[in-house]
Amino acid sequence: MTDALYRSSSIGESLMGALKLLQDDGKISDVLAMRVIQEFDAAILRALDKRVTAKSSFKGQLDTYRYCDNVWDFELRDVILKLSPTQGSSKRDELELAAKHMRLILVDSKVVTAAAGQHAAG
Amino acid sequence: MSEGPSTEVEAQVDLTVHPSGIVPQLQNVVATVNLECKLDLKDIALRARNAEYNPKRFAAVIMRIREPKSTALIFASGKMVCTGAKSEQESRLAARKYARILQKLENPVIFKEFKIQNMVGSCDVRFPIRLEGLASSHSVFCSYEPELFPGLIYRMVDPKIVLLIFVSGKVVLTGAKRREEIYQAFENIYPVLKEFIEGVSVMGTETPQPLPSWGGWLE
Repeated sequence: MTDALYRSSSIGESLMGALKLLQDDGKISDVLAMRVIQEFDAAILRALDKRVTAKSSFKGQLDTYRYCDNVWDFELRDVILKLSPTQGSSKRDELELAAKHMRLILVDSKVVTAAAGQHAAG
Repeated sequence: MSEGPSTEVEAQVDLTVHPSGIVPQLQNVVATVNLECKLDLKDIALRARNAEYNPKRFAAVIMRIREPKSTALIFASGKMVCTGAKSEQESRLAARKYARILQKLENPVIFKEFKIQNMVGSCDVRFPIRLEGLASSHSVFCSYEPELFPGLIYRMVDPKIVLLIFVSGKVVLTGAKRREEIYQAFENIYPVLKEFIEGVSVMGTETPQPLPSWGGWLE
């Protein structure tokens, strides 16, 4: 299920919403919707791996952490996020975001690719 | 460094216990406790905060708390090891806190057989030491292999304490079950170390260097 992680991102949620609408209107079948979602799962992993050049860094106080089943879970406080512009972006300045709380969930990339591989094979 | 014979500390030192005027500071206390109940480590790792569980690497949940700053290894058998505390009381309090956390996760734990297994202390004699000299005259107790490790390992027999002695005058004492053993071991070694102050000759074969007064010579 780890490769389904990005379904709950903004872009993923938008896609899910759009598919739901189409399904409800009877314009696409459930099978096709599922197929699109699976394609999205694979595409987002590929895109994050190969296409994204943006860099960001952040600093905050670690409140709690957890490690179980190859997943790290961090809860941070008073976080400053620095976003560097992507290559070829018109923006020049580094963007700084502040957050009172931040939750980081890190999944072992080996687990994700293994799961994605299984998906593709199956 | 808060340790060592600074003037303020010295004023409070009980010289009947610490004739050297130096009190080794406890750095780590390791204790074990039996919680007498089987534990579901995965459930604990998922529900408790600041827990790590990687059964492929190590068969225990590693949990930490901030106050007293410490780490616990929690085993499925219900046995627990608590490390990192700086005193006996802290170690016991920390172990109790871990037990309480497990209790909140609906484990029927009890707090049994709390036992301190090891204590580590350290201090600074504030003079450099000739380790070669010490190693050759106390060779039965010493192991000094500067190519392997820069410190001299001194295995004291009574109390049964291992000391790591460094040229800088820093001393680490370990293997104690009670803090008195650390204090006693240090008081035993202190006069020996004074014999091997760097720059002072053995048996007057060389011209003795005048010893600077204690206050200023390291500054």
